[in-house]
Amino acid sequence: MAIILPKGTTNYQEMHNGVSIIGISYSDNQVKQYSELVKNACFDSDGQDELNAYISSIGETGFTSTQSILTNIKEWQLGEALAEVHLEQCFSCHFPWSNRRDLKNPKSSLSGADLVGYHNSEFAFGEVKTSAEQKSPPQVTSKRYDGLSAQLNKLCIDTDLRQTIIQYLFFRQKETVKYQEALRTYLKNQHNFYIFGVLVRNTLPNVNDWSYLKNNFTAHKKNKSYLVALYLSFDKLRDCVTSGGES
Amino acid sequence: MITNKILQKIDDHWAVKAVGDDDFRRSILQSVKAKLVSNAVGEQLTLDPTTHILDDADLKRLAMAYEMAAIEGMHDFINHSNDDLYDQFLAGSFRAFEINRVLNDPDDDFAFIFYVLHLSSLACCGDCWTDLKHIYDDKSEKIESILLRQETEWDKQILLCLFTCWVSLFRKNSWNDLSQISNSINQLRKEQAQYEQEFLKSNSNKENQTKAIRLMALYHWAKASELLSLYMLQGDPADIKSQLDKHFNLAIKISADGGDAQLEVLLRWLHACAEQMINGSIWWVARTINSKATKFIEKLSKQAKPLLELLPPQRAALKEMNLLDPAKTAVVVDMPTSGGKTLLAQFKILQAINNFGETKGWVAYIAPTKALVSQITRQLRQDFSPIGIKVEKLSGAIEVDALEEDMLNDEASFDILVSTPEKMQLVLRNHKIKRPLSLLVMDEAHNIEDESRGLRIELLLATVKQHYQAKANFLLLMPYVENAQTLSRWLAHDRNAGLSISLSTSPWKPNERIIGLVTKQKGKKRGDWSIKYKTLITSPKTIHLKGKHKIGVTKPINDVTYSSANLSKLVAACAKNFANRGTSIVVVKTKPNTWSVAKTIFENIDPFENISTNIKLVQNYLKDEVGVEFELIKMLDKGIGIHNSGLSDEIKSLMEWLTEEGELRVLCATTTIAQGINFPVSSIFLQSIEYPYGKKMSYREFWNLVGRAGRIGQDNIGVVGIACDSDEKEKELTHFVQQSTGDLISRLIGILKELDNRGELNNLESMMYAPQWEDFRCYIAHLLNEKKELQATINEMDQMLTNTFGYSELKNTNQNHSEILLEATKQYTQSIAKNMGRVAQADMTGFSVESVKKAAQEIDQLKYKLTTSDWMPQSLFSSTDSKLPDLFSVMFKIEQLNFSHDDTQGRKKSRMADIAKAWIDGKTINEIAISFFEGNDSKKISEVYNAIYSKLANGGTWGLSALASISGLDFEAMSDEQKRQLNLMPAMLYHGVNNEESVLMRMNSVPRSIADSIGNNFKQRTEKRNIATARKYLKSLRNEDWAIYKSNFLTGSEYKKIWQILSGELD
Repeated sequence: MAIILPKGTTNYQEMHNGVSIIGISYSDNQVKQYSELVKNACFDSDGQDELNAYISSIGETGFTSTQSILTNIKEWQLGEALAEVHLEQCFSCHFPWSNRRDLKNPKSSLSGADLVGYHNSEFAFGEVKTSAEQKSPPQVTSKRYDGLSAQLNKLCIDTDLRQTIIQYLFFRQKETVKYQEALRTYLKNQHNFYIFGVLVRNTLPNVNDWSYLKNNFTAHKKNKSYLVALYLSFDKLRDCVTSGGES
Repeated sequence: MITNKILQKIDDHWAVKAVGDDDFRRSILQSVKAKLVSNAVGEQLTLDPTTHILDDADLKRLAMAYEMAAIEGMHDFINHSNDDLYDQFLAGSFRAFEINRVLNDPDDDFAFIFYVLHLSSLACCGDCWTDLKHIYDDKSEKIESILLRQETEWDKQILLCLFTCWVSLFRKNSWNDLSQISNSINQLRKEQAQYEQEFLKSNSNKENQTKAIRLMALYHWAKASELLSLYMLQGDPADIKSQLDKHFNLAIKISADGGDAQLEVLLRWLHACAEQMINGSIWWVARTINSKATKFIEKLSKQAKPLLELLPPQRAALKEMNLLDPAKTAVVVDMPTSGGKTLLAQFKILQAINNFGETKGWVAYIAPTKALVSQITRQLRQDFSPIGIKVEKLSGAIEVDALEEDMLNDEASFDILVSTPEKMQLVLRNHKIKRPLSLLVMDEAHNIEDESRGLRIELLLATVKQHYQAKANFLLLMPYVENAQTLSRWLAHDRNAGLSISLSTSPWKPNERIIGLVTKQKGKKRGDWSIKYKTLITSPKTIHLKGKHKIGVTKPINDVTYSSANLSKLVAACAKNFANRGTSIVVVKTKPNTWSVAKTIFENIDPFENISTNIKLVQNYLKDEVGVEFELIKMLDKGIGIHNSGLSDEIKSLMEWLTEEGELRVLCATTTIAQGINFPVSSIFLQSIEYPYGKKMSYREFWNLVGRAGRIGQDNIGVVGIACDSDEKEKELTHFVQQSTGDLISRLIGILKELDNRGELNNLESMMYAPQWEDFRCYIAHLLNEKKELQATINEMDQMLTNTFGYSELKNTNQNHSEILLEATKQYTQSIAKNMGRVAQADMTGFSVESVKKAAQEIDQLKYKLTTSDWMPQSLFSSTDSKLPDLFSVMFKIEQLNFSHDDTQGRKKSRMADIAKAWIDGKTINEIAISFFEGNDSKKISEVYNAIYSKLANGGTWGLSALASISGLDFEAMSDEQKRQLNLMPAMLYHGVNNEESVLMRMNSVPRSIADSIGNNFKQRTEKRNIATARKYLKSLRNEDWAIYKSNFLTGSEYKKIWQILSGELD
């Protein structure tokens, strides 16, 4: 049975140049209700085993094994997991392969998108930024190369990037019909997709968080982009996740 | 292999359909072709403004759809788990590559690296890897700049190194390039300790983790790359596929877990691409043949331009269609021009030699022209000599001379014998070789339908079927033949032993091609005119662009007005315009046309800034061989060559060599080049599609010729233009190129049909004496001579005729005609059986019984009786009372010898004899021209060559040899030396020298002017003198040995090089 989770409190909602901007805050109690799903998205004991297997496989390449890699939960992982769960709950998005185990490669110039899935029978591409910075807008929205605005603009403009992501999704998707439907729509017009920019904040709700994007983000098509800010306590979320939601 | 069927099927794929309707999809593909043409020949051809080129966005959308269809089949391609999806993968990759290749490159270096590797993978998976060479050439500047980048970060260093490795794998330029891959990866291993630690020293643990993950993916990719390169080079390790699967799968999984979507997708493509490279690797394809084949492959893989991967049609023939199935005794390969059929023949030959080694079986390789016989011999010798397989050729003269007899009788002298059909026919019918024939390879076998030679070729195959069927296998190679299956069934031992491999109609092409009409158009200003090019819709689906496009500039050639711009001027102007793009062949109807077109181009083109040493070499040879004033020498200053039957075989070979070396801008040739060309050029412009006497080229000949337009790996587009000057001709040509090549039909059936149409079939018995039945009559005489007895021959006639393609087909399709043919043949047999002596002479000489009769009658009418001494070469060619003029007068009366009417006048018979004497006496072409043709301009030189090569070397040598047999000489009474001299006489005439050693030198391609002096030294230094020891002697000569042979124009080393080129000894 599907779990119904709270949708949080909408603090602001507006349209700007065809882009929907929404701010939602979660109470500690609501965060707690999310924690089980978020936890699933962050912990994966198999992940460590596989990493060890990879490390030992290097012996067969003639190279020497790379130094051991430790995994631990980072805020950005929590943020992405929360964003994924929220979009699935509140926007009827579907992400067949979340980046649960994916260790994001910050150096890769074309690493893809944080979230790849479907919305309204079309592809949905999302970028998530997590920031506890008190200043509004936070710098994660405006950084030149990997700020939220730059990344979203790139997703809107760069057809090659989208093609790679769509292919990347192909190798993971399990629901052929859904994938084909979205791809058909996309191939009819390569602007037939949705963009989600998610900002996970450890601050009070503030519409100014989007001021940089309002000036710098250009959507590929009207009514196809959502900028969603989620306001919550990071400490609470981490506690809930690490202790199984018992705190 | 990709077929038209699977390409059609992919257009019904849901992703492709999503892009738009069929019309829209077609308009995108059309746009892709237009971009390709514009990119390739935009400088020479200005596209009509109405040629619509769509936005890249639309092109990308369709490319993505095809690529997604391919990706859907990727898993099944790698694991061979589902045939439909396997095909879908191939077709999707093919189409995606077709579109992506015309899109713009990304600017960023690392994006470019991913883009190039992805594009190359699509090309490999879509069976288009041969296109990569010129794509890499186009992008070479950018690639070189990337390869020079100095990266400090370890992951980027690895990526750059892997990029270099894969560029080598895709280019396959040299063995060294590929062997360097393993060294480069070893170097990375050595540097790992030095750079990795530094790279993973970031303050952020998160960043170190992700970097480490990326490195692990790269290490597995590096290992896979190393394994692949080793396999391509030496066929090891044997379990390559499972090893590649392991490393690619790990690299993919690690990069996926590292969230590196771009690397992951690229690795998936490279994995599929590696699989396809292995599939096409010469080691993989030939791994199960035999040890000789392994040695052969080793040799191919290590040559200067290594052969590591087979062309898709070769792979398909060998692996998918079982070319080497030992149970198939007759294999017919229908393959596109430039599809690489010689290599297939080589594998089949190796199989035959391996299987029949103990019985000392031999292989007959038949090529249609003397030039092709020489070319094939050169190639087979180059490839097979290092592995101990001996290749010899028979000269172009029809009779077998004494030296050739020696060779044929010597068991150890050859494994493969290359020859024209005419000569091989004589060898086989007279059982000149006692060893078993294990395989007969017939190249360009579509000549079976040729009006003048087709029946001869068919009957040669019938002879082999008749005498050698129990052991001999057949391999027929030909382009564009739809009924290959019928042919293989005809030749096979039994119903199931035939195999036909049809690849001509597959979508794989060596390169794209445009074929169009070239017309002139008046300009707006007075006196202005230009050349318009209109592409045609053709049966092999060459590129068609809408509108009329402009070739070159307004007033494309000097001093030619609109009204004087005839078809010759048009093709000259086209060749001039395309001169900077690679060699063009201009095909014209007559020999004088070749010279006039060459002159027009000469007057309109700048000379080379520097004349290359190769061109200078040929110029010096021409000065030596023909004379300093020979017009072709001047033409070569500007890179213009000539190729027609008015030149010696050596000069034609040198023209071909210059073309292959890329030294010529234009080669002006007659239509007959269609039968002998087996090298690619950039463009072909035809003044006419007719032969000199008005006969139109067959569709197959036309497509075989234009199939040479475009060089694999060098031109994306081969350009073909046919000049046209009237609406009527436009209609005719438009129709001509749309015709399908259709079934190959026996000339026997064709001739009977023609007679039937004329209502003359019921009179076949008397019609059989017409020239077109000559080969058939010879065949019947041969059958009768073999059986020796009339009744037995008549009784078995039906069965024996069934060995012919025509009769066997008629029995199935037109019983009436087959019965009429059988009856008329029986009656003809009865009529010739009355004089079995003549029948035997006919079979021995290759003459028809009627020619033997005519020759005997004419000899009887001479006022004296010919004696043995009359036939000795000294007497024939040197003495004042030579009987040669009278013998020519006899020969002129024998139609089969093909002397033209104007040769037969009284004055000419002695002149022909005098020319023969001068030729054998070592007079130069220039001297002969001045003495006998009243001048030495190009027309006169052409007449000399025509007299020597078309008359003396063909009819003359054959006729003299046959007349000697027919003249009633008492061979028993002759001394061995006399017999040898008599048997050598035709060879001396053929080669233009007057002793045995010089003939041996000429047989081994030594220029005529030094054949005597080298021959003399050979005689002094070698005791056992034959063709093979002569070649060995020549090969043993050092540079200082050659230095003594020099003339006014050629140094010893230049002579050596000419000999190397002509004999195929040039590395």
